[in-house]
Amino acid sequence: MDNKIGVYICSGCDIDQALDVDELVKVAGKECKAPVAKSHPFLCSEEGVQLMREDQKNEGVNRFMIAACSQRYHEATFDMGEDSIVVRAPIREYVAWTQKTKSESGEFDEDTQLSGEEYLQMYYAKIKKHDLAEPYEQDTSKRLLVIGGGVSGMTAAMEAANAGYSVDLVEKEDHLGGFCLNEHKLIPSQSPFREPEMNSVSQAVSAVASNDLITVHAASFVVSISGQPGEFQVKLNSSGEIKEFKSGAIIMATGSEPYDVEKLNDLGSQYDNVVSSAEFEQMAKSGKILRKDGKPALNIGFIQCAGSRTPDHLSYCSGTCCMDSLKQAAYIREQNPEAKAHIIYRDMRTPGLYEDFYRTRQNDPGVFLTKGDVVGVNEIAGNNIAVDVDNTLFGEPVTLEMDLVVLAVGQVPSTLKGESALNLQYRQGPDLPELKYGYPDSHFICFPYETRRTGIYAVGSVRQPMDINDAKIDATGAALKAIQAMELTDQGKTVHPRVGDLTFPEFQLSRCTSCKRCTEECPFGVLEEDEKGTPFPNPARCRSCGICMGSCPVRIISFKDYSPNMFNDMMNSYELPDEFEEKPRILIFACENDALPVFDMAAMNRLKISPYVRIVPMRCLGGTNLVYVSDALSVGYDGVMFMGCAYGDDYQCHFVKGSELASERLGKVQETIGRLNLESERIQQFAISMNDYEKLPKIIDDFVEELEDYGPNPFKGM
Amino acid sequence: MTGRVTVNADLSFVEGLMQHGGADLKTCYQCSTCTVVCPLTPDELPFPRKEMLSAQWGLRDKLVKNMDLWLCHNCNDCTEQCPRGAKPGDVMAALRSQTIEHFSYPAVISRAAKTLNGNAVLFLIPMVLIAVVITLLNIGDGFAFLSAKPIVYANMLSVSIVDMLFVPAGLFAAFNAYKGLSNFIGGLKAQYPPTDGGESLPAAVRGAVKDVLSHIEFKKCGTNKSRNVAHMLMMYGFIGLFITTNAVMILHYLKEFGFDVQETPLPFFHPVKILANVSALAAFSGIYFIVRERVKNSATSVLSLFDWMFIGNMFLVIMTGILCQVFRVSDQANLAFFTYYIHLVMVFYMVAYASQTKFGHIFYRPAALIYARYSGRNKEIIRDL
Amino acid sequence: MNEQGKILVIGGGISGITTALEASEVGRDVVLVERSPTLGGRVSRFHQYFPKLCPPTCGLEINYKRLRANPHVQVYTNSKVLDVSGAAGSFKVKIRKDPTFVNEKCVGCDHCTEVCPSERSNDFNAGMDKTKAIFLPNKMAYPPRYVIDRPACEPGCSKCVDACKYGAVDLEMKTQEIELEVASVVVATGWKPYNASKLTNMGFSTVPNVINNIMMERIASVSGPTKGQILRPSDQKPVESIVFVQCAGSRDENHLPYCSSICCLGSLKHAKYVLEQNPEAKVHIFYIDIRTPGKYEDFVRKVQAEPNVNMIKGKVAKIVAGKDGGVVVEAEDIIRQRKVHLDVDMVVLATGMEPSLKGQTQIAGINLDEDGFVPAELQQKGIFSTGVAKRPVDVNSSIQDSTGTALKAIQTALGVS
Repeated sequence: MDNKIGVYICSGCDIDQALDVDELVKVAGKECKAPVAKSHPFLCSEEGVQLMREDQKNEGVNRFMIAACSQRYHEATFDMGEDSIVVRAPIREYVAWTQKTKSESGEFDEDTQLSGEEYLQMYYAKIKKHDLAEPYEQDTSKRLLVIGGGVSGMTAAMEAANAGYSVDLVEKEDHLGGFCLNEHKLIPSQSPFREPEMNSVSQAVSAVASNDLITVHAASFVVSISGQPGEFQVKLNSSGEIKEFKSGAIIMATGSEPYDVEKLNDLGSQYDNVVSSAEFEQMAKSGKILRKDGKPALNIGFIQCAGSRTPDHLSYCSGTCCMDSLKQAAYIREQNPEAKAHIIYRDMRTPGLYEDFYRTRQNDPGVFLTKGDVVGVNEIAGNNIAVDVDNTLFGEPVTLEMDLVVLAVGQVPSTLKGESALNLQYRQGPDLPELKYGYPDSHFICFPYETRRTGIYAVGSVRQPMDINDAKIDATGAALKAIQAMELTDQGKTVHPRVGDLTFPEFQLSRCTSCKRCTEECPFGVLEEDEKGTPFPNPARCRSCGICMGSCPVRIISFKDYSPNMFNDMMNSYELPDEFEEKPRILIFACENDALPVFDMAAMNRLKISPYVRIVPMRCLGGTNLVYVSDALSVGYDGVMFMGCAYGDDYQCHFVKGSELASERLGKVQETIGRLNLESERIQQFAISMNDYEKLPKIIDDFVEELEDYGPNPFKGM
Repeated sequence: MTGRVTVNADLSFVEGLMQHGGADLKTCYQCSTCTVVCPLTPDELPFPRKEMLSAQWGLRDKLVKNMDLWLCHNCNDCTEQCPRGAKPGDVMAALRSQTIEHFSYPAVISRAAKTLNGNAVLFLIPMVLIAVVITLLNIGDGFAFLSAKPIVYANMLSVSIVDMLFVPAGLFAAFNAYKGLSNFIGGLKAQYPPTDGGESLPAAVRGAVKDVLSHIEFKKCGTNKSRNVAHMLMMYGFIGLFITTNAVMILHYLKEFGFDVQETPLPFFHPVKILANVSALAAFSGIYFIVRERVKNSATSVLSLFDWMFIGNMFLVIMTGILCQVFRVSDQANLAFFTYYIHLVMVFYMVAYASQTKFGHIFYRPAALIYARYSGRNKEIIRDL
Repeated sequence: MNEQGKILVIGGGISGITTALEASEVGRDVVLVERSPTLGGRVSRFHQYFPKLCPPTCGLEINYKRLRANPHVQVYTNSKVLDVSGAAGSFKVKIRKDPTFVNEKCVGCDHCTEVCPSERSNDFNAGMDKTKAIFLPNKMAYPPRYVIDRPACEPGCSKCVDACKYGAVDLEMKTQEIELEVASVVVATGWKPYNASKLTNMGFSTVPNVINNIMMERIASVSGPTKGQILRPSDQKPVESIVFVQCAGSRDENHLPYCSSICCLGSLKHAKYVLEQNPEAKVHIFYIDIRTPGKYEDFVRKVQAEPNVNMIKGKVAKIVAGKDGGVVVEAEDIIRQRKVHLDVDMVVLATGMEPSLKGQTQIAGINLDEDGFVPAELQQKGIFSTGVAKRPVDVNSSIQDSTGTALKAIQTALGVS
């Protein structure tokens, strides 16, 4: 089908108060050569949409360039059907609401009018570079692979099975159940959260084992996983026998281990009567809370945060040890009413409804608690243990003489054991990339399940320290994410955050120089390479962010509606004013997730934005490429601003690395610009968050002002 | 670090406290709301948060020598605001009774005063003793005092016989109080060595007496402000009764020794009689307010048996005292003499066990208040707790 | 996934939005009902999230983007679920959609507010400023449509009707009753800040410059009453010293017996807000236990390392007015065993979370526990709860929970479980 572009310009929302809309229609016809160009006073009204629909029907318009409000409004209103493409030129936000309106005498401002006309041409160039996408077809599997048969893994398997999905559940031990199977009792899971619960993990094991949709592979480990979501090729070593099968998505639930008490000599782990909380759990389970010498332990001390919350061992708080020690204090009191439990904590952490468990344990006359910092643990006469505590509630440093001391140790994710549980055959390595402390990187807070390996979800205490109740909740969520990944992959669509996007990067491999930047920089490990070092993509691993596109120095990577050529055409779409005074031109590449909405916010607040900037939306700042810079400068733009999110430890990028990679690339801008003999300050990156709209005008004005010092781009008009 | 002390949690002491008034003390999570809302605590080493901790750990030795227990006047502002329902006010009261028990001599009596059975024994002693004496003295004339007119209580038990019973009881109590107090003060001295900021002993005594008489501390209470009046009525009532009882005794012996003084029972408008009746009414209304308040607050503040015995004993002493006069004047002999008998039993309980029941606070609290001034508690930081 | 019944999600905060989106992105039809005129709930009022100090609007933006393009989610704002009856697989639901008096023709041009003569207290900013009677609920409102607070209108006024060129204002708009059949129900009704006026010692509403943590969010927010300048309310003086009162209502049998689990991190975050604007400001945080589990430990360490942050074990239990708009707080510094009286510019009560449904007209068919939460075990089959409606948790946990709850709801809708 031929492409026919229609340009529809809305004059409502005061657009006609800033822009001569008739003139814009003329520009669309004359300059853009749009076959159809119309204006309407209220484009989002039924009549307005009707106008476009009629053109669709009668004129065969199938590409709609809507010059009106931003794409954040009326997305559904302007949905012109699957075979049509809609591009929005937000002249309301970028021009009408943020620039000078017409004078009282009715004259339009020259700069404002130019803005409108130039945006029209830019976005017309943009739509010309849009093609309809087709779904990525593959032969997909909808079987879920769950690695790890502890509570998290079993829950994920069970929940997926309950939604009708088949599951392969892999467990390295010869039985399911994981760490919690051997717990004496469990912390309470439901109201009133007062008493430890009977351990029900073995029931869960039976339920999983008898579920028809779940295939349990016990005594097994993953030898390798290759492929991509929907068609992961899994190779398993099952008691020496190699099994191979296909999986649609993967849940990694390999759990954690208690921190190694051997490392806690400063807390007396070398003494006979100092044990870890895990060992103590087993003592209680056997019903024999005894000292090494076989005598019953009557004075038992718990040292909280043993090896946790300290840079020397585990920096983080495992969040479970306080509850565990309170639970174990209950064992002590239950098994011997004469015995006493002493808990030395730094902060008692029983958040939420667990508070009642704390209160209930406290209320036992034989449970003694104090805040304090343990500064020494020493063996004294009778192999007793003296615990020296500072900063106590007693108002003085104290010593507690105990028969037995329990070190409440934290959780260490299984990823730190040194062997890979996934053995991914990915160029970027066999594991989920780590964020910190062995825990996998994810978009913490807003989208916690998003790891950097599409279709692979970490869950439970391997994802972050958590207790059994949270692990179950976590596992249920991960099961859904895995199901989503399988379903969307099956439809050839990408997953979060560009859910349902059908565009994937396309490579013009004939021009590839095998520089490998794309394969290295892709945060999701999408690209593998063949023997010659040429990349080949695994589209189902892709999130469509365009970071690869930004990494490619020879611009061979593009999307159906997003490409270096599109940017180039946008830059060249109108004639840049020759004169610099009063007419500099600055390009702003703005990430559509953060920076772009900031312009909308500024517009809603009717903040005035410099009329010299032209905004180009990006999927992610990671699409930043120095070729855009050299293109822009050679066309004559006086400066380029890149606006995206903050990066670093607290990165906000929905594609993890985008803005960071942009800054790395721009760090080399001097090489590009130096050749042109231009100042590198003409190119700058700005971290803009959604909250920064009040600051936005000044940031831009300051940049414009700075450019004035450098004078016009000498390439202007060449 | 110097001064590291070994802490030994005492489970049975904690269990004891929980049984005797501190049922919820373990739920305290040491937020110190109690200390902040306490209108009486000084800023340095404030109470009752630290006492709550010591109580939770059962640190008996530290607690019985704790002066701050006695600076607390049980306003219950702390209990009302406690986010954990730990009732610090009750715990402080329980700790005070523990202190009385700890120093009481002989300890068996105060232990008895904390249980129902023990109290039964404590009451049985004067009941039997007085009954036996009455029987022995009056069996000869066939209990003629019952029918003699007008009703004269001395006909049943002469003043000298009464004194022969009560003076030794009083001396017994005084001796016990002395023993207990001197140990208590020894404990205070060990725990709070006097500082430079302390007052001289006479000044401390004067100050403490003034504080007690003026009820200045009670008046600072927020939640239980009305207790100030109730306690004051009761205290002055008892002081009045103490004075009048002794006045009557003096009058009696003056008469015995031939001085020309008013004969007992005194006429209604005799100044001593007026004072006695006013005091009795004051004490009665005081105790009435206290009981009413206690019942009203029973949801938030739970009283131990130790407290109830004390309040009950006070109440009955006053009640029977008043009724004695009512029945005597209305000429109901049987009722009158029986009530008088009960009255004597109640007074005996009060007097003889004064230093072992909650009544003992009249010794311990002033001692602690004096010592607080003497050692400089209210002014200086004492780091040696 | 085969086609079965719809899922009803009650509550359009982050939990409800997440549940709706996650379920819809596997092709389920979802009805999302929100009581207020906009989605976004509590998080839309936050200036930043802990521990990354990034704006919640960023995550909301992505979610709204997912929602806008999503044909499976039907959103009812300004609507209340009145009644859920029937059984799993075929619940009958009654919804009342209250009129906003502005229809979908609204383009957001703002001409209506220019002519509106009346003002109303702005609940979005915790009542600290005013909007016109016709207003946009907030800059990120979804749907981005104005609403009219009719009781705030001048009687007989119809200036907005005349000002609207698009015919969007409809003062005759009526309440609609909607009846639906759904297969499963998710309660995601979230929370409200505990009413700090009930904390009689804390001076909220009696002592000037004692605010709650939600007000602090609004004061720090660029869309708040001070455009993000941290100024104390009484005289707009920049805050140079501030006290955070932890467990203001939480962990307190007289108020909220549970730990709200977010307030520690909230106050640590607020400390960063203050220090970002004024690094010389003195920040005091009074706590019982600092609760920053997991990776959040890094955050408390970061804040503690700030030279002007002072963290004191001991609960503030008395707050009175000081001189010149100052506030005097009293607490025991427990480790040093001394009572402290601090005179500061402003006090923030870290008030806890109370379930929204507590004290509200109940939704028939939804069972609450005594604290007002909607625990799973009290609900009939096919009814689920998530986020803070279920238990006091942070945003991150709510999102996890909501994703899992979406699966639970799907299972019921599929009739599998």
